[in-house]
Amino acid sequence: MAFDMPTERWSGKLNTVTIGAGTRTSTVTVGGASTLPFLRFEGERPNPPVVAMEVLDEPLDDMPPALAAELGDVVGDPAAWAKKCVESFGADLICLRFAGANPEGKDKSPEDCKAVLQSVLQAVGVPLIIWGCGNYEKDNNLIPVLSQAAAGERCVLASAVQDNYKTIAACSLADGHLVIGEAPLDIQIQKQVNILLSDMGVSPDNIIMYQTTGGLGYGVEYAYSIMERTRLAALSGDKMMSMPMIAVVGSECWKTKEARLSEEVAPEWGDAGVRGPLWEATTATMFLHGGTDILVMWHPQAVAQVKKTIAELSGEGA
Amino acid sequence: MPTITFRPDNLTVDAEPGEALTAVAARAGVALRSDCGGQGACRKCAVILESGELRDREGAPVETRATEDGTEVLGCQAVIAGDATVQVPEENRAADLTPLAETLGHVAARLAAHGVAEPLAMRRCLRIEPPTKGDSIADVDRIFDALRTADSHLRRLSADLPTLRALPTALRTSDWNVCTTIVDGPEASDLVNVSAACDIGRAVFGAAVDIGTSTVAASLVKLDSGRVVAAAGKRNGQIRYGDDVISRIIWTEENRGGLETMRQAVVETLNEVLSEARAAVNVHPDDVIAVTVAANSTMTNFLLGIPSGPIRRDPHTPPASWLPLFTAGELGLETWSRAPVMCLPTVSGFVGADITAGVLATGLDGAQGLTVLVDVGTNGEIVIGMDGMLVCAACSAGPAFEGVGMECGMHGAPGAIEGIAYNPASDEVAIEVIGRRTPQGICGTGFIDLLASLFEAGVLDRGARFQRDFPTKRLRSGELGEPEFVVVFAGEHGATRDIAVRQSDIENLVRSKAAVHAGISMLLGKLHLAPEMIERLYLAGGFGSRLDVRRAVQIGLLPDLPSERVAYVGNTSLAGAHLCLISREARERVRAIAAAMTYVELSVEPGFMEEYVASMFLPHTQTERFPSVVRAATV
Repeated sequence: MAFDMPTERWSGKLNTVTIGAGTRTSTVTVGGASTLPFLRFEGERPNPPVVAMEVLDEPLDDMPPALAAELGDVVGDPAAWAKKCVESFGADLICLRFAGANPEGKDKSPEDCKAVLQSVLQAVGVPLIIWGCGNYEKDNNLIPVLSQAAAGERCVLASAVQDNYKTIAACSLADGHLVIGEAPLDIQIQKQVNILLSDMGVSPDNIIMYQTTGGLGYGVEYAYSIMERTRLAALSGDKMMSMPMIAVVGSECWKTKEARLSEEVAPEWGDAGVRGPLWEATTATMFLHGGTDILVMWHPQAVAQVKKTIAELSGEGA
Repeated sequence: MPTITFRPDNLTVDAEPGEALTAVAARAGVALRSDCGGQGACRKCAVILESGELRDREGAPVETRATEDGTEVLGCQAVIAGDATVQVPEENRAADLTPLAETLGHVAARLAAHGVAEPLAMRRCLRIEPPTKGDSIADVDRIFDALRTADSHLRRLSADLPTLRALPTALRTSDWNVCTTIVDGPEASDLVNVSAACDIGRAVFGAAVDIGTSTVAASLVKLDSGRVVAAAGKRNGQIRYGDDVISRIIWTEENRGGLETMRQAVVETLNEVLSEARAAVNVHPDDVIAVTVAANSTMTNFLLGIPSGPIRRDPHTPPASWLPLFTAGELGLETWSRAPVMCLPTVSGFVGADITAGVLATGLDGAQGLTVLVDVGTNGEIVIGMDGMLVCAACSAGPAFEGVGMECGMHGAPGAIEGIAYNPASDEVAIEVIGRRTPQGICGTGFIDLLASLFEAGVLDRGARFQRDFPTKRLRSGELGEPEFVVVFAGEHGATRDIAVRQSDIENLVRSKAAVHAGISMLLGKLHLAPEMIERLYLAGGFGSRLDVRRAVQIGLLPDLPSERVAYVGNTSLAGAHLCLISREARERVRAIAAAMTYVELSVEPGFMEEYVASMFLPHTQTERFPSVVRAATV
């Protein structure tokens, strides 16, 4: 007797979002799925997940050796770092994070940050995610400058939260960018942020959702279930939950002691050079199954592994 | 029946000839001051007689005094003779009266229609047949026989030891004319007093009491007519030991003698409230011969001095659901010391007698079709009644709608802003104040209007955050840079200070409304019912004297129901206590209600937190649940 694969028919579909325009030499399109991740027998997922690699405006003070060894001396030069990510490691996008602008850190001026952004825009042709420093007041001064400097490039501005979304929404409307709406691992608050952005005039097609995901071992199961439920809501027809999702993997994973500790300190955990990238790749793979469309990653080996996984699960080269 | 009009409020009430003006005023909601206790000495109850006639207690024209404002009459000395219109000077109104104790709409009508039938206690004056040689039956049986002859509704009669001790002397020194007091207990009618001093015709009263976590309210009820003659309300003095029941329970556990201190605090508040109500109509404590108390489980416990630890710990067990009658003396209440005190029954640790009273008052136990009672106090409770089924749940709403914890908040008492409409075009705020007085603060209904009005105007976004770029002079940075909206500037409407609502106040209100809405949704969901199936929803609580249902829906406090299906019924806890005071049937029914109610613990329901967060939005994250609000916004 022939086996009939049971399939689900969904009424909803994810928004299709294209990042990059203007002087970008490539664009990235995500979303558009009409089924849960990788259920190719059930529905379409026209745009497989992509990997953005993160570049910091200021190098980390304590970059783990496993990362430093791969990235080399480019970490002091954001433009070179970005270029290496694209040319050597195949990054689909660059996520440029302005941690150095934080008043509690280096408190770099918007003008200094703008120069960094311009150098990266020149160095690479892939689309950009422009991430502020996380301090509301500073971001409200910083993001408008960066947004304007990248006007027409259709970048992604990050991130809008419940308590601070107006400036960033206004920037996206003025300069033609997309917005990341962030929520603290809460499906209802995510929807509230999306509604607030929509009320400001941001089209749902220009929003990407971000739940503050952690690294493996630090509550990822919960993040997974939030992602899955978000997807189910979208597929069930909830227009305010139908945006693609992004997960920040690299910075979260490389905060964990499991990824960082050297083998001198933790010999029983094995080779740190393998362990760290594995930690990152495993986390990323889990989020892929949860339905993430954009992964923000750090380690080139992890990126390579995850890109291979995406290709295989999406049916390419199988 | 004479009609009395009180100005400037233009409140009109019917009165009986011979009724005291102070009593009529209290019933109208304009209680007069009575610093001397009705002796005619302090002149604080003076009113201006504008038209009509008032008499004194002997039936002669009442003494008047000509003043600049007109003809002055003392409220405590005047009784009703015919129609009259009086002007009540602002300074002669008693503070903190009635709206707290007010029952409205449907419940008020039920109360008015409910006749007196076997009140909790009654006084009867009897002429007893003295014994003779041929008739030497016992003294007490003589009284019982006389009582049975006079009243066929009495149950099995019994007398207690103090009564038996007093009996032989009382009968013989009074020449067999005695005044008896009978308590209508759950099983027997108890003769609790026989006295020689038989003051025929002296009216007796009962006190119906609602002890809420934040406010204590009482009605003084005349036991022969069943009508409220005075009412009063105050903040619960226990607030100094914590805003909510949990923190108060902890306080009693962590402080030496804490439980007794807590008990004393509420007894003190209760006595103040009773004294204020009595003073308004000049009633002596000994003439208050019965008390009924509706309170949440913890408040009942505190009044009785029962440890409440188990209520705050899983599985939140109350000590007793049905309580015997106590006496006012043993609890320390300043009424007649032998007055029976009935504490209405509770259902669970978090669904107390305030709710069984509410069910009784609204008639939810007899409701046909899906009927919901939502009582918003510091703890919010929801009861679903449908064709005899009663299911209830509690949620922690917080005291925001009672005005606690907010600089500009107050309970629904005279001086409270209960209606607010903001006009963004003129940047003006129109307000309605209870008692048409100088505004002093904002009460629950005012907060509901304010949230809805600011949301509609766009001063608040859907996350209930002030939009600092909104063009208005009323939005400013308050303490620590926190944004605040000035509802009334000092000088506007005679206010002496700014009345402003802060961002954190708004967040408090939104959390409260979210808890209530989430509770309603979860409980309905548990029973596989949908909000739109609700045929009738009663909203109870001390919000104020009026509620714009449309506004309550607009902010997502209540489900999106047509206005005609929702009724604001005021203080139903007090109304239930009132019914128990005057009716044996009500006392039996409330017991049956407590036994029939099924309690659902919502806090352990997996989806509760999520439902709560979804409700912390204006009106709600799931906009499809509020089609009327969405429609209005897009028009």
